[in-house]
Amino acid sequence: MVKLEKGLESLLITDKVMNEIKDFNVKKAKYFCPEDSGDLKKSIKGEVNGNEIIVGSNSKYAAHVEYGTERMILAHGPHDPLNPVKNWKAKSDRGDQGTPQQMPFLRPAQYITQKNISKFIPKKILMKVNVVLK
Amino acid sequence: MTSITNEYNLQEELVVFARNQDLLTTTERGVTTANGTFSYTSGAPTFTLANTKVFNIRYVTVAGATVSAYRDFLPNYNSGTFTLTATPSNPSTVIARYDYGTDDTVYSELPREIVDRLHLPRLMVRCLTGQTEEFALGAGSNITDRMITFQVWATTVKKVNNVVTNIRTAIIENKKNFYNTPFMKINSITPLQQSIGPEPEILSKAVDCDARFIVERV
Repeated sequence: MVKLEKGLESLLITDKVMNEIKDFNVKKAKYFCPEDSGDLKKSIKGEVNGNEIIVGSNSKYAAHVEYGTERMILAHGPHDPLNPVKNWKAKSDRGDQGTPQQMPFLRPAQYITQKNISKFIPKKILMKVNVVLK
Repeated sequence: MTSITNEYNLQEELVVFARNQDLLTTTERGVTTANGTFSYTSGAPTFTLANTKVFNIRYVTVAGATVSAYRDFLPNYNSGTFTLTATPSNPSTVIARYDYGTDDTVYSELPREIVDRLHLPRLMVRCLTGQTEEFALGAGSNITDRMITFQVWATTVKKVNNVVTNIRTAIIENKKNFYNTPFMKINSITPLQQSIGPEPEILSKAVDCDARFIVERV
């Protein structure tokens, strides 16, 4: 699971805004996620918990795709529960990646979300903040 | 004039930075450090290093003064050469200190089939993603931030953490010293990942960085 840092005061954040940010993060994670059977992509979920947004996957091999596992998998034989990753071949809309390798999808999505977080704050709130600052 | 960041140069600079900073020692990398000394008199200022498989040039001096990669000299690691961007005075002594060998453990990609536990520790440096925004009125410039990750694999927690410390130290001390990105900051450190199954485990951590303020004119 990846936790999005608290970046803004809670006064500016409504449940609606939090859910929009969460949905954006989930959408980006699904975009970056490599696809073979599609199970990993489908498993990506998000939730809002107070001032935190948690986006991740409960897939057994999500962390291994995120951080790289090829040698770990090959080292443990064909009956390893993570074996599907062994022959991983990306077929995402970013193009065929070819050989099995690490393909981070949660961290890039979190990074892009952080870069865009200010866009989710309603403009009328930002205008009020400007007035207060003046 | 358009000035778009050269992706290959950026990736190369990051990997060479990791090698030059000794994030993994030369012994761990399996490379040897050597000096190449040249006497320049005339002609094109391109110099060929004596050892063919060169992985990183640590520094170049011209008449005793250290010059900067990409600005003052252009390395070509495929051919094992480097070219000064300005013709030095005649005569000048040019010295390059570099690492060479048959293979390296610092790369821009994940360990592949040739790697097993005997070939750890290993370090990967690469750009994971980035975002470009308009930066000026009139759409004359844009600004790009990139996510750069340094990931280490090793067989002990101590080694992983030592390399993470090396990475953090190198980034903090050189945050404004890159050529292809004006500023780099550490964003986060990932949890320790470990393989499952019989000992010994393979352990891994990544240091995610934010390469910022890359302004490109259009």
